[in-house]
Amino acid sequence: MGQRLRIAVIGCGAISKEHLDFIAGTPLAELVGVCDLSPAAANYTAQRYGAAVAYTDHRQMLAAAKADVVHILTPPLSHGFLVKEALLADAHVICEKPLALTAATLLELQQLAREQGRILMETQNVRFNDQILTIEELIRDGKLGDVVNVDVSISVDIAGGGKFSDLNIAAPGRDLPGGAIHDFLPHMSYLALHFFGYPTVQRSSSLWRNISGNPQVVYDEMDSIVEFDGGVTASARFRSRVKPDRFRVTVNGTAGSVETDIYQPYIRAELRRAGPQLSPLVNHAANGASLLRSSVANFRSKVLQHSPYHGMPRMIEGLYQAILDGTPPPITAPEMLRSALLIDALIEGTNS
Amino acid sequence: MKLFITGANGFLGAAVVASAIEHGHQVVAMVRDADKYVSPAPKGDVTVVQGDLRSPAAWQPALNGCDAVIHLAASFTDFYSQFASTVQGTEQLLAAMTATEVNRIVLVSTFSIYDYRALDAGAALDESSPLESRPQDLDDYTKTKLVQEQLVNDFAATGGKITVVRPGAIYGPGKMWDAGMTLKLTGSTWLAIGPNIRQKLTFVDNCAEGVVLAAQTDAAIGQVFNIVDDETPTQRAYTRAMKSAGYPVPLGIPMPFRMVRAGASVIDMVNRKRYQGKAKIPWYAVPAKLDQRFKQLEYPNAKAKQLLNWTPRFSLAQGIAESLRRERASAASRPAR
Repeated sequence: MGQRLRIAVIGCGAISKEHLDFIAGTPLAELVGVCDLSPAAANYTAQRYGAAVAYTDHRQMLAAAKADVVHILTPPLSHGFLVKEALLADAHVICEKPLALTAATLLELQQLAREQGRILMETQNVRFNDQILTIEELIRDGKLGDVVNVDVSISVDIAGGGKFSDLNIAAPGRDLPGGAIHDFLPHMSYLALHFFGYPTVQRSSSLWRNISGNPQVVYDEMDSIVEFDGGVTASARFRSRVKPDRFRVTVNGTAGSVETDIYQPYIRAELRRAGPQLSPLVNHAANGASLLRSSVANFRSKVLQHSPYHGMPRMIEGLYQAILDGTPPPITAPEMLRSALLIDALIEGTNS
Repeated sequence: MKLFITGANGFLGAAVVASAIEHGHQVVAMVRDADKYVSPAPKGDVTVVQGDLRSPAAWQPALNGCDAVIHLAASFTDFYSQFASTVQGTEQLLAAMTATEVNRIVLVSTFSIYDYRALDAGAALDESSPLESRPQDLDDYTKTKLVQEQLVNDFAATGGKITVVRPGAIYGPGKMWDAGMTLKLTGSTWLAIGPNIRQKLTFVDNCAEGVVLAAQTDAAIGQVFNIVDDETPTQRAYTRAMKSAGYPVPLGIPMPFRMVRAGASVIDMVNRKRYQGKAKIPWYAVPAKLDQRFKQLEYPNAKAKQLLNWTPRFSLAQGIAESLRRERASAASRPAR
């Protein structure tokens, strides 16, 4: 067996499962510590995933565990200081999105990572989902022509119950610039940029609203449009009141377009599959067959728990391999920065 | 006594509030939504506090001066939400009790945490029966309740006075079929798994009184109590009793437990061999979960009767009749549409 990376995890909430399922099963890693402010959560997680030690103080863990990689899986407001301390403890860091609440903060942390000679990476796991990889392949094969527009549309009922709208707890969106929608913004941002190769923003306009009136969510609907270098555009939309939940990504090109959903995966592609007369018919038949296959595949995925997080293990494995090989990480610093700058633009464009 | 009752708007919690008032106690009722107070005890007789156990600032002041906590709050969602509210909520509650010097707690736990696979068919399940040692095969509720009981036991180790009450399957108005006896196929047709299996039933008022007696009885400190009524009818007998009381009873297609259990064992084997146990299977096709609900067992209640002086006030027939009476009264008091 080759070298194993010493892994430590801070934050044992829901998202930790997606990280720890991979960490506990990969020959690339050894789980040397887990940490949570709740002793019960830390102990349970350590026991469940075979961590060497359970900690309730991250400083104690950073000093004692000598981790090669620290996973920071805590609420967003704590990311800044935890990332800093983990980097200063000489660890590579992977942090849940949003890694930083502004591009300026991200830049500072990236600077520190450079000085420390360590990798700092935000989880952009959806980029590694099957459907996104399929769309990348269509683009690479020239099937879409030049990509000119991307639309990312998420509907999740954040205002109708659950942690985002709960009046009795410190709701996670309350203190974020984009309110509860901020939790989804990184996914929308990097997907809006990804198929263009991470261009810079020229101008943007956003409409942010609170339709439900629930103060905990701050905002529950957002409509944004952005123009990038080269005149290509992206739109990002978030709805709380549209049912059922969806996470739709549409990529429009000069030769064809493709649509998918991250929550209920399918691929619907309008391509030049035959001559101009026959193409619409062939597209209908091909997409009909594709949808049927998806319904079977989605049932199987549900039973076998192949969830919308299935890109996560690929992303983490890519990071570990990059650290071991000394190669660039699967998500690069410039890509992260462009994504953070786009989020800034979407928020600055609030109601402009 | 002054009792701080969490989960006071729940099905059992509301009845515990009423029973506590009836037994002459003062009640601080903690609820998630004060506008939806549901207990039959008049709202004016209790102090209602709104909050979430994870955010103690809202409710900790109300704990001051209480003599004991009756902890019922629980949630039934995904694992991590249950862990946050049931386990981390209990952590916060115990910390607040330490801070306010309240050291008596009655935890309402569950029969789900017993190790049914370790018991032979026909055995008696009582307070000394072993607890589940392989919770990974069971549902999130069982997993989190096991951790929660451990936390309360740890509290006892630091000087806390604890009592654990494990109720059987609670029935009552509006929850006559929720005891896990059936699988709904359609609104009027149900699959009756194991029609001849005994059900560990307890009528909600009987159970609530057991919980209150546990809080007010010194001999209960350091003890665990199973609360099950005297009658543990088979599903068939329960259905017959409901029918004769006047309840509309859906068509139940009987399915022998052994047959369902054998089918589940095959599915379980395929899941383990082919999919390394990763496939998500519904409860009625998981052997361990079927055993939890349908294994033929005896449910003695002698300990609660002796130490708490508890007697189920309502027989099965009376519990069913009372449920129907309350359901009808509640329907009649609702404004016509």
